[in-house]
Amino acid sequence: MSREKPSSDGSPVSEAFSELIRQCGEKAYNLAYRLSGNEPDARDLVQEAFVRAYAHFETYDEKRPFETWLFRILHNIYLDGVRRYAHGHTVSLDAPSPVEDSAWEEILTGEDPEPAAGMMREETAGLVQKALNAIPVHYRTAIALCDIEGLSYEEIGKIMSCPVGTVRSRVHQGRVLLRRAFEDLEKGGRLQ
Amino acid sequence: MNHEEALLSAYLDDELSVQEKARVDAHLGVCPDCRRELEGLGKAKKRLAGAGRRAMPPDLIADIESRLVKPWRARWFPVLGRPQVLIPAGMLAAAGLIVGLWMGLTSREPDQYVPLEPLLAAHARYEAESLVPEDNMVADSYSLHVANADGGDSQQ
Repeated sequence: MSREKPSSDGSPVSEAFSELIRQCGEKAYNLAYRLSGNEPDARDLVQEAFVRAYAHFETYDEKRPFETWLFRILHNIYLDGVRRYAHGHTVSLDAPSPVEDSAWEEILTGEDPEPAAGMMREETAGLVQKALNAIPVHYRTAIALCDIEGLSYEEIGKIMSCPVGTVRSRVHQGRVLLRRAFEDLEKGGRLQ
Repeated sequence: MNHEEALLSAYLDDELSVQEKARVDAHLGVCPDCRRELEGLGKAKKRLAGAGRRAMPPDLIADIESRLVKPWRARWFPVLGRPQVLIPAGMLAAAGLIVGLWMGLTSREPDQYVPLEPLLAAHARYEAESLVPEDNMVADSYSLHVANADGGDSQQ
């Protein structure tokens, strides 16, 4: 891939970088959404990640997958945001996402006894996101990368800047917490 | 019984070494608790994977590309326009204005002393000149009339 960068005087983005945006944009957006839990923050995260990747493109090692590098940038931007938020609030990286809880009934909208498949998928996705939001950031990132993106522990370790042993522990703990969150949502309607 | 809970997720993800996998397999054969735990973890994994990816908003790629080609002024303007920057800048400007006004007021020099003598002398001359009859206000006789008026005053 060419490392040529377009100038900042309004000329179009290089074809190579545009292709990377098209290839990795959806995965990056999905990870951003799973981490932040809402569309506006996910949009900002993805945009900022691509802007930084573009600005530091010279430092990208072509032998490694661009996607892993981009995810690492995105994850760091998200952690910076959480730390800045935590600085002014009483939350930490070990706390659940600062997203308002919703009742089970709010997630399962509609009373149609035979809802369309699309609506079922939306409801399932909404429930999953609620459960994910209840999990501390490190565990949430690990299981989102593992179970949704299907990355190996080694790739997750590169993205999260930690050893494989730590990834193994975070994935397991995250999955245990996720299962509890699902149970809480289904039993009580609200997360504990 | 030595449970292998911590390894169960890695077992599900096929991330164990051959030896570790054999150990977990052997343990699962004799431990119903760990089999149940493995089943629960497997369901959670499947549920998360089943949620699939969120579709990317169709305009996001265009938004990203537009941010990459903007001139530096356009990229910096939103930063400069943020309240975190604007409020301190406004406060700084207001403080500068107040300090400037205060310095201007306190550094003003006192009024200059104006001697009264020349003013009084000029006033006396004006009064003397007003004694000159209007029909004699000509250049030749003006000094003489003033002198006469002064002499007359002194004789009285």
